[in-house]
Amino acid sequence: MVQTFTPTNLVLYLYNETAMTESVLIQKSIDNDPAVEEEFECIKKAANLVDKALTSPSAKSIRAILEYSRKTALVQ
Amino acid sequence: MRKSDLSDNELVTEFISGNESSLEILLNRHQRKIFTSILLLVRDRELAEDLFQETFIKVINTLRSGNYHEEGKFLPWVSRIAHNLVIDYFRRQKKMPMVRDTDEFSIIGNIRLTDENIEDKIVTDQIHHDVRRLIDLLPDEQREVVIMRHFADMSFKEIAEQTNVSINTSLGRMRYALINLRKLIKERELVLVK
Repeated sequence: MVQTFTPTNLVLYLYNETAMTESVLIQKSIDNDPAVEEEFECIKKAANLVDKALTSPSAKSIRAILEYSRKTALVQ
Repeated sequence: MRKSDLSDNELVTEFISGNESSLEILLNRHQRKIFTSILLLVRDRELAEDLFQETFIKVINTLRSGNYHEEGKFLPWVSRIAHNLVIDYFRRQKKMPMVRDTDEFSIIGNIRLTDENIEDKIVTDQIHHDVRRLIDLLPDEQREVVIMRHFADMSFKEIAEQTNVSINTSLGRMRYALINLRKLIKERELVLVK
C-alpha cells in the first residue's frame, strides 16, 4: 500500500484532529500495514498512559479558592 | 436540567451574574487537569498548590472584571493563565524547577482510606506518581506539548500558535514524546497497570 501520510498525521489521527476523508485513509493503512499498525499502537498506548498522571489539588486549596470568591463577591 | 450539565460558558455567565456555586462546578470539572499541568511544570507539590490557587484567584478577578472573551474555551484559557504564572514564577526565581520528592506522601495523607481499598489506592497513586516521573524525564519541549494537549485540551494548531512553532513541529514533538515514554517504560521495566 502506498502511504500518503507522514507519521505526524498518525498523531493528528490519534487525537481526532484529522478530517473525515483523511481519517478513513489512515485507518485503512493501520488495518493493512503492520508497520503503521505497530507505530499507531505504540503512540496510542503512551497517550493512554499520560492520562494516568492526573492528580487532584488538596481540599485545602479548593476551600481557599471558594472562600476567596465568596469574600470578594461580598465586597463587590 | 441539572446545574452540573451546564456548559463551561453557561457556568461562567452564571458566575459573573453572582451565582457562586457555578464556580464550584467549574473547579470540580477542571481542577485535576489544571493542577496536574502545573505540577508537571514545577515538579513541586507545595508550589503547585500555591500556583493553582493563584491561577483561580486571577480567573475569578478576570471574570468579575468582564475581561473574559474566550467563548467556549474555558479550560485552555485557564491553562494559559496557569502556564504564564509558572513562567513568571521561574523568571522571578531565575532558576529552573527543582524536584522535591514529597508528593507521594501528601497524596496518600490527603485521602481517608478504608481497609478494603487501601492497597488499591496505594497502587493507583503509585502508578500516577510513576507516570508523572516519566513525563518529567521528557525534554522540556516535548513535555510542554504533552501538557498542553492532554491537560489544557488545546489543539495542535493552538499549541503551535502558543509556542511559536509550526503545527508539524508540535506534532513531531508529541510523536517523539509518546515514543520516548514507551522507551522509558521498557528500559525501566515498569508495570503501569493494576
